[in-house]
Amino acid sequence: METEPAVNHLPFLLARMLLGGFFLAAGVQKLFLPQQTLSSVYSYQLPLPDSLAVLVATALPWTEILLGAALLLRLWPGVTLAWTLLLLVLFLGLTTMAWARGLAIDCGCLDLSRIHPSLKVLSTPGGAALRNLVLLGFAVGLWFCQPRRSAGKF
Amino acid sequence: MRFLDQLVANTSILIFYDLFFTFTILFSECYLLLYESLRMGGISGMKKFLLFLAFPAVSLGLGAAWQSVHPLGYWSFRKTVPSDGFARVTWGETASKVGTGEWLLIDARTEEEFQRAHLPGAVSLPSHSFPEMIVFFVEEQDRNKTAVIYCDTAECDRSVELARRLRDEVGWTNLRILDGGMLGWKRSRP
Repeated sequence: METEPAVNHLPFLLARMLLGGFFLAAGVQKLFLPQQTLSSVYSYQLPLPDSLAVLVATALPWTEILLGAALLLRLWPGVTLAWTLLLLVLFLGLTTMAWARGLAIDCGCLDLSRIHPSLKVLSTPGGAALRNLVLLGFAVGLWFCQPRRSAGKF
Repeated sequence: MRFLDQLVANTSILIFYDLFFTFTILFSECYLLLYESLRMGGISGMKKFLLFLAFPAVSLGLGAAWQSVHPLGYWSFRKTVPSDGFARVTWGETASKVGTGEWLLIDARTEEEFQRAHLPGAVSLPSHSFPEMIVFFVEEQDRNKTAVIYCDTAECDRSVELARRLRDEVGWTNLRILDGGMLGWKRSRP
């Protein structure tokens, strides 16, 4: 009788903690700065009508909080990871586009400069794009390599 | 009544955008779920699909509720906007100074709102303007003047937001907030 090879869950746990912590912290930060969140949406200079920009700024903090909590608690991994990938691809696209256009903006994502001033560079479009790329790498790793639960559960 | 008006307005906006989000997700992102469904089985896939749709809907609902109760929220019905250290002036005091060119009157609302109606002698600088636009605007103005900023009402926060940005981003120091905003001006007219 064959037995399944033992899987080291630690890397997956760390990746989920990193992604979950990032989304949770970013969401909570946005939640208490509604005007800055809206300014950040506008700063990307996207052809969005005012009402849609407000809706994005309204839904985004809670999406990030729900997503972060679900990642940390490993709730519905398939759905959570699908949203994580979707958001990170979107963020990566937006920050890369802002970087390519030379926009001198704050990315509106998690501000780490409170930890250390030098981390402010991660809030520039280039720094944020790089950060999103790294996070996307973790999410892709989780999506393809994380051991699945038994069929029927999600 | 104000609460009811806002509730009706918010609900209609939410329904519209929930539908919009739902259809966008349906047509653009279902491949992720289909992929997952094939791996995990049909019933599980349908549950996942519903859960996937629930994410933005729940976020939007929570967000709308939060923005309605947060003092600086977009649809807040209990706004208590702090002046953030900026002095408030009345329209009576402002009108004469703007008329003689001593003070500059700035409309912090959107360009469309400004086009619809604005106070006499006002110039438009939306509070969400890009930093470059704010620098360009200030270069065209005399920074020694006192700038009086206004938005819709005494409870709107865009005037304070713009004042904060003018102070922090370009170092303009003589800034005041028009007490009552557009609504105060309308009410003060005979």
